[in-house]
Formats: sequence, structure tokens, C-alpha cells
Amino acid sequence: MAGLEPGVALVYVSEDLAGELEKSKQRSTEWKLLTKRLNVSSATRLFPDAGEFEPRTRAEGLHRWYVLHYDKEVETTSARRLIEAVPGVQRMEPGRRIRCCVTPNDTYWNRMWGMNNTTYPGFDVNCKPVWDTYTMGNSSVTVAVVDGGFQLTHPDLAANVATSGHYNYVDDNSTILQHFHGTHVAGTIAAVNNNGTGVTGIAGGNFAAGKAGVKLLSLQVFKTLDNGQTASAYDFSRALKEAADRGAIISQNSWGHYFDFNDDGQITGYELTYARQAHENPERSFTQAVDYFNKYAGCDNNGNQLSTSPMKGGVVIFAAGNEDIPYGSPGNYDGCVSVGAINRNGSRAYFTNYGDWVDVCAPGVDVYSTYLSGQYTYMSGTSMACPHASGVAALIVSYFGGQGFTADELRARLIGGAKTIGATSGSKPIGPLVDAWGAFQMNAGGRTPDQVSDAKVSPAGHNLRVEFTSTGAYAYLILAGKSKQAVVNANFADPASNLITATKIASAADAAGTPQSVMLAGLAPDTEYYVAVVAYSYDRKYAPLSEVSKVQTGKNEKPVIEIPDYPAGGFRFAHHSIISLPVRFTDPDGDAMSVTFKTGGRASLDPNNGSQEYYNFKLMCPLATPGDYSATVEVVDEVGAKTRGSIQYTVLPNTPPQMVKDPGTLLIEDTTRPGDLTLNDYFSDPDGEELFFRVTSMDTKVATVALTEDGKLAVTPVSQGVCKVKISAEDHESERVEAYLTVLVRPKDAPEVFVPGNTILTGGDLTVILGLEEAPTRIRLISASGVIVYSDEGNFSAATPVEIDMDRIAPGIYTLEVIYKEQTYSYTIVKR
Amino acid sequence: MKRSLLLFPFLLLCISAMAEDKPVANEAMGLLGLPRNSVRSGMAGAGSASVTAPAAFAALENPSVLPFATNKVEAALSYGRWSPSTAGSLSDNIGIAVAGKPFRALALSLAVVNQVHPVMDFGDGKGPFNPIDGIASLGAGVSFGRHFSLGASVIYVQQRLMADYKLSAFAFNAMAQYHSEHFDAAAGVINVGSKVKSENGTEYPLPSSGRLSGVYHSAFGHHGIEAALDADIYFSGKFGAALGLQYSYDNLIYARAGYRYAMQGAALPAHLALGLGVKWKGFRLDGSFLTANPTIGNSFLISIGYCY
Repeated sequence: MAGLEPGVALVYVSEDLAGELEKSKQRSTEWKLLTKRLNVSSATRLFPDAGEFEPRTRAEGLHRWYVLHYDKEVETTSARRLIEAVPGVQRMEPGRRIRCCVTPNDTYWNRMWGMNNTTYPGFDVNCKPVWDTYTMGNSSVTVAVVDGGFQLTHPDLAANVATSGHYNYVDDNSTILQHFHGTHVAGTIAAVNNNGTGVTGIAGGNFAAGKAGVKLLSLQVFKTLDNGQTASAYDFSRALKEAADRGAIISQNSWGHYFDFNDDGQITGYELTYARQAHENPERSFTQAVDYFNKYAGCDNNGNQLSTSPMKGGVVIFAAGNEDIPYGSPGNYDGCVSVGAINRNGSRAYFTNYGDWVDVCAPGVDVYSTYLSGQYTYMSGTSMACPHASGVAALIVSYFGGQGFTADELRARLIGGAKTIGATSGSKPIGPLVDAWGAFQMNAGGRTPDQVSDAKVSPAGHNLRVEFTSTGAYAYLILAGKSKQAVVNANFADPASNLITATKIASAADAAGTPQSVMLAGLAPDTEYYVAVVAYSYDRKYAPLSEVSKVQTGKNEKPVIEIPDYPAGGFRFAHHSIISLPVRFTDPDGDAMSVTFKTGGRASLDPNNGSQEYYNFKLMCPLATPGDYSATVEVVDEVGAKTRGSIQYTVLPNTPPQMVKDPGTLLIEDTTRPGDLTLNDYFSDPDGEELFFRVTSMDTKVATVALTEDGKLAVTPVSQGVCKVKISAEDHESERVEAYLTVLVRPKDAPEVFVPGNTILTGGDLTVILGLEEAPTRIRLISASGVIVYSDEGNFSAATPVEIDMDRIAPGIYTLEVIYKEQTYSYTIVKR
Repeated sequence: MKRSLLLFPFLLLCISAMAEDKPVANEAMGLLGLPRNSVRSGMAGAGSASVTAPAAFAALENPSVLPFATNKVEAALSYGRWSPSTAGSLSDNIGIAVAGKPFRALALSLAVVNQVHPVMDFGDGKGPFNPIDGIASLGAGVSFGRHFSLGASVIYVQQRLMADYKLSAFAFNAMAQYHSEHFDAAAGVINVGSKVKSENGTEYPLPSSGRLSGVYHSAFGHHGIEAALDADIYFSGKFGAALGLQYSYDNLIYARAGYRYAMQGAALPAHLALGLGVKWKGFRLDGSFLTANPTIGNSFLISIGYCY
């Protein structure tokens, strides 16, 4: 597929397999088979050893991601099937192509309107009052620009460039190469302010006052490749993750997945389908990298905020994309803040992607900023809107940052402080407009939220489902206890340990009046509980407790094992099969479960994408000895209820390929055009295997042969005559069947019986070619004196050409007389 | 004489032993094995030892019969069409021969045959061509007493198959003859000579054979009868034999018939032959017709001769 990078796969493996790949040169038989079948050239960690940050890298499981480079000719779907069947492989993601979210535009207009819109007041990020009142940026804040490298020496950037930590992921070295896109983005965030030249950055500091702005860290993932805008995807995830290890707390990302496969400037048809699929199924290698950054930015290996960091955790900010579609991978992931674009008049930019998943919007058309080689230029795109949001985020941290300030608070101020403008809602919503002043003013005088008045509690197994209507609060705390008094008297800020609690933090979609549903887990079965809900504000002002409900939990239900399409008597697998079958574990109570698997042979059971619910039963049958096997699986919920099941399976012995129809004779009458034969019509494998064919022409002077991509035998005629083509059909077990195709090259106007080539011979074989049909035939070679020097009689056809050894024939003039299908053909032959 | 007769079978055995270990399919210069004498042709080739048959073509067959020929000088001209039923194998044969006895015990014969094939275009870009084969033979026979003679002839044969390609070879015949009033017999070798080399260097033998011939003839008033049996053991290992009968009335009209048996591949295929002839005042006209063979059926040979 055009949007995928052929021959590249991102593979998430189990801890055991990761250890095997990392430490030992001994590979499992299954891995060796994978290497052989896919011609794997390398398998390296996606997130390399992070040195001092390796412990937290491992804690988050990022060391279990591997990049596999394999034969580019192998289709992604075939590669996926094989990779996912290897025991220990829990997920496979194809390599994707990426591009910048920029729409070049040569139209010039009023510079810097995104920060101070004098033409259409109100449609900017409103940072000027923040500069005047609070801050213009602080050098304790580092923003990672995951993009093309920006010009580190740009006169309007240099003062705010981080002194170290930059990295070029394209070339895998520390040399940053300036790129137009990265340079433009960096300028919007932190071009040096008040330096008497160039443009203004949102968090660029105050040069005149001697105050530096936020630090810009270049993590280069673009270079001038293809059209200058595409590159491999897996380095982006690595850059995202390492941004945290390199000291950044805000990650600026103006790029997205590439779906315009036909490069027509539009996302339509199947392109839209792929865009939707990517939107709905974010890649785990990406989400884990984002989660890592959000969790560990500004922190040590244990997740504790560093004393030098202004924030605990990180915020990843993404451009929504420029395709004017309701999808926007990968920035639509919940762990990211997604940014759409508006025009300078406050209307939605025509190109911006849209949907409820877009968190905020920002100026993205005709944005003036730094450019290559110390220059400046206008550019448009959500790529330009995104750094406005990043700049405002950097401003927020610059002021509010310090010990205890969290990424959640930054996210809450950035999104919560944004203001709704009419043009950005409606059928193509792109969220409220980023408002720096609004973010700074948020919760300055926050009120106590309204009480939850309609909480309903119902048992769900031994857990409880709590449903209520949102009151517009920042969050909701659900409390459950065996005594009503304990609930009523609870300290909401620090609930007692005898209370079971759950917290629901409201999102942008959880406005007042929205129905909410929270599952309260970890409760004892058949027990009476008192449950209530309390709403609270961002600054922890608590509403009165809701009415306390009294509910009896139900019995604990055993986990359930589901094996779809499990046949009576067990599975029967052909010996060539690569098996990966879904197995689902569910707990009616919603309890966490642990799964134990005992293989009866070589089968394995791995979580699907790290899920607790979905697993894959895997078996590489070519490595298994044919026979009957039984695997057992046991699942235990957190209360101890246990369910056991077995998976019976039979690995059938391999059956060699078979010829189902004799290839017979292929007549080519048009010697200028190749003939062809669909080989699968003649050969099949009783096991249903795909067969590998080899073809050889036994006489290339008559015809040459080749295999086409669609599995046909292509026969190219060379000269009139007949030749045999050897066809070998082989299965994965290297068992084969061979057959011969007769190729008859005979122009349409040629006689049915003919002697190819010269009829004047000095020796060798005189070949007599007959027609397609097998028919009674008499062939005689008669000397001038009437002596029959060669005679043969029988049923002949083109498949059985007659060859007369002319070395045995004395020099002279001869008559070749052939009677075929009751017609006589005569040729004069001279033996010299 | 008895010792001489015993020598023949021994000679034939030796000839058989000379057969090739790895025989080729056929011998070169197959035209050497064809009949040139329409009298003998009418008897399917039998009668090499016959002294009553015209001796003009004896140089090509049995030169030892020359000293016992009844005429002092014989000349003959023949025309034949060979193998007309087999497309492509047709050839026209024109032969001319003369024999004479300049001395009492010595006789000579000269025979020349031209065999002309139809014009052929082999598609080799060199245009049409008329293949022609030719044979020239000179033979001599000398008698020893009234009953024995020896004869030998030298044969030169050439085939022009294509404009740029011809083959040639030398051969000889050597025969011994026994003659009596009613019985003649001859034995010897025929067409023994050099091998013919093809363009790729492979050598092919001539249709050489050891020959044994016996003829019984008798007259009853106006009626005459002659029975002949000829056997050829070819050096290639094949075998052929012909049995022929001739009836004559008043030495004026002749009727002949014969059958030849031959192994597959033998130089002259098996066939049935019929012949007629007239003789008047030294002139004779003979014709033969071959049948009962798919390749040489319908072949015929006509000859006119003069003798005194």
C-alpha cells in the first residue's frame, strides 16, 4: 500500500522474546523460520538503550518494540500473518509514511496576526496581555520540535536554542540539518522577541530585558526526502519518546500520516478508508511513545518530578492535518492535544481536518515566521497552527511551572482556557481557539461545582455501575463503603483506606448534562455497600455529596473463555499452516484476570496488542510433528474464580502437490505474442497451500518461458517448432510434482505437420512436428532408391514429436512421408 | 570345380563378418543397387549368371559372364522411371552400355547411367537445382577353358545433390563364373569400394554385397525356359534373394516374372516384377514393370539393344 513503507515492520514482543532477541544469539526455531521466510535483514530495538533512562524505558515496555527490516517484495499482509504467528509477538505494525502538515502559500498579509490580530481582533492566541502581565517565556521550559531540523544559527532563534540534546533521527547522528518546515515551526514558538529584528515568538522571551525565552530542542525526523515531506514513521516514535529523555516537557509535532496515495491533493475513496482505519486504530508503538513522554517528561526513572523541571509529565501537541477530512492520525490519540487551523478572520481554514477529537484550534493561514538561512516567510497549514498552541503551552509552564505543577494542569489550562468561536464549531468542529490570556485566567476565581443529584447505582456482578449526569465539574469522585457513616464523613481529598474509590476526570466532551457511567471495581461479592458521588473543581472545591445509595453486590462470576469457531473434536491444521486464532477471556464482573497456558506441543498463547481480553492462539505448523495435541488454558479472576478449558488440535501430515490436469500442448499461432497458462489450473495442493512454481524451457530456440506476477506461465515464441517446458510445483515442505507442457509454435497458415528449421542436414536429429491431436500416424524416410531407411507408426501428436537420427542416415536425397489424420505430407530432405 | 564351389560359401561367410558393428540405417550411393538391365529387372533381379541375357550392362553386374556371352558385340540403351509413386523419390534413368569380345577369351563392357531427379528447391536461398547421379563402369572378363571365367569391373559413381555439394566413390565388382550347357553359376562381390564421407565426417559404406547366382535354362522345341536364383548378402548384414523365371518362344518373344525378397533396408527392396521382350535379327526390345512394393511400385525399365 502506498502509505506504508515496504519491508518495515514494528513488532511488539513479550518480555521473554525481547530478552531472547536482546541477549542471546540463539533464536527460537519459529524466529528462524520467520527470518528465512521474510529474509529479515535486521531486527533492532525501536527505542534503543536509553542509558540513564533505560529503567523507565523498560518499565513502560518500550524495550519490547523492535524494527524488522525484511524483503520489500513481501506483501505487508503476508508478513503480518507470519510475524504475528511467532510465539511472543504481541503486535505487528507496518511502517508508515509521514508528511508535514503544511500548505505552502505565497500570499502575503499582515505579519504576526496569529499573536496580535489587529484586522479581526479576537481571532489570535491572545498572548500580548500575557506578555504584558505575566511572562514572555522562561528558559527552564524546553520544547522539543519533532520536525525537520531547524536552523540552529538563525539570528532570530539562536538565543533560544538549547545548548545540547539535538538529534538527527534520519541520519542517526547529532548533526542537525536545517529544514524549511522545522525552522518555520520553531520561530512561531520561540523566535527571539524584542531583539529589533525578524519575527516574534509566542514564548521567545524579552531580549531587550535580558530574559531568554523557552528553549527549543531540535529532534530532526524530516530531511529532504522524496518531495521533501515524507520519511519513515518509526523514527518519529523514537523521537517522541526520547524527547522526554532529552529534557523536553512539551513535544511539538506538525506532521501526520500520509494518505494521499495518488498525490491528487485529495483524500477520497480507499484513501479515506485507510485514513479512518488509522484514526480509529492508533499504532501502539506511537501511543506508547506518547504515553511515555506524558508520564516521564520532567521526571526521573521512578516518575518523580526532577528538581530542575518546571513540570511533572509532558504534553504532546499535534497538528490535526490538512486533508479536510474528519480523521487525523496519529494526533487524534487521546494522549495528544490536537490542533486545527483558522483563517485570520476567525473562520475555519478550508484544509484543516475536523471532528470532536480536535481539541483546540489556532491561527494556521499565512503565518509569518523564520525560514531557512536566516530568512522569513509565510506558510499555511495546521503545521503552523500547532506551534501557536505549543507556544502558548510553553508560556503557561513558564509562569505556572514549578514543583508540583503537572502536565494535566497544563493540558487543562491550554484546553480549558480556549475560547469558543462560532466558525470552529458546527458540522466540521475544530475545537475552541487557543487563548493564552484565558488559560492564565482559568480558575483564578473558580466556583464550587454543582452537586450530583441523580446518581444511580446498580450491581454488575460483584462490582457496581454508577451512573449520573455531569454537572460541569472538573472531576467526580465515587466513594463506596460498607458503612454509610464512612461515606458521609469521608475526607474527599484523602479518602480513608476502608473506602473503595474511583475518579472520573471530565473531558471536553463531558459538559454539564452529559450522562456519565463509572464502574466501581474491587468490591466483595454478596456485600452491602453505600455509594455516593462528589463533584469537584480544578482547584479542589468540592460540591456536596450526592444522595447515598445502598446496594448489594452480586455473586462473583467465573471468567469466560471464548474460542470462536472451535469445531467439535478440535482444530485440524494443515501442516503448512501458520496459525493465529483469537481466544477471548471475559469476566462478567469486569474483574482483572490472569491467564495460564500449557501447550501440548509448539502452540503458544499471547495477548493481542497487550490486551487482557483478547489473546492469540499461535502455532507454526511447519515446525510441528504431525499428530494430535491438547493445550490447556486457565483463567483466574481477581477474586479467585477459575475457568479451565482445553484446545484440542491436530497437525495433519503434509501432502505433496498434485497435478490435477495435464498441461498438454499450448499452441501459439501468433509468433509475435506470448502465450500463457494459468498454472493453478493444472496444479494444486491437497492441503490448500500456495505453490511455488519453477519453469524451464527445454529448447530456448523455440520458446522462452517466465513466471508472471499473477502466477501465470508466460511463453514467448522464438521460432516455429515444438519444445517441452518443465514445470515444477513445490510446496513449503519442498515436496514437488513435475510435469511437462508441450509448446507448439506454428504460424496459422503453416501445415499441420511440418519440419522446423532447415531440411538440409549434415547430422543431428530431423524433427517432425505433428498436430495438436493425437492420431494414427505413419512416418517414413525413403531414399532415392526406394529404400525405407526410417519407419515409425503409432499414435502421435505435437506432444510426441518424432526425431530421426540423421547421423545414421547416409548422404543423399530422401523423401519424408508422413500420413497424419489420413492426410499425406511430403518433404524432401537432403543429408549432406 | 568342386573346390571352387565350396569356396563360395566360405567367401560369403567372410563377407558377412565384415558387416559393421554399429550399422548405419542405410548405405550411401543406393543407386548402385538398382537394376539396369530390363531383362534381369523383369525377373526381379535374378539371373546375374545368365549367359542368354544381354551382356551390355555386365560391367555393372557380373563381368565374369562376358566371355560366355552368345554375341560378339552388344549395345543397349535403357530408359527407366524409378519410384514414380513415392513423391519426391522419382528419378529418370538413362543408361547406355556396350560389350564386346575382341579376343576369344577376353570380353569388355562399358556402361554409363545417368539418374536424373526432379528439379528441387530446398529453400536454402540458392534457388532450384536438378540433382543428377551418374555411374560409369568398365569391366572385363576372361575365361579359363569352357566352363570357368573370372570378371572384374571398376565403377565410378557420383551424386550431385545440390549445386554446391557432390559425392563420389569408386567401387569394383569381382565375380567368378561356372558355365555349362544348362546351368550357370556365379559368385563374387559387388559394389565393394571406398566409403562415402558426409559433411560432418561420418563415413558410410556402399551397398556392397556378396552375390551368389544360379541359372538353369533349357529348350523344348520352340519353347525355352530359364529359372534363376540370386542371393545377396550385404556387408551391412542384410539379405536379399530373387527368384526369376523366363519363358521364350522361338527365341523371339520373352515373358518374365520374378520375386525378390529383401530385408528391410536392403539396397533393393522386395518386389514383384513382370517383363516382356522381343528379339528379331539382332535387335531386341525388353521392358519390365515392378509392383507389390509401396516405394518402388510402378517403376519400369525399357531397353533396346542390338547385337551380332
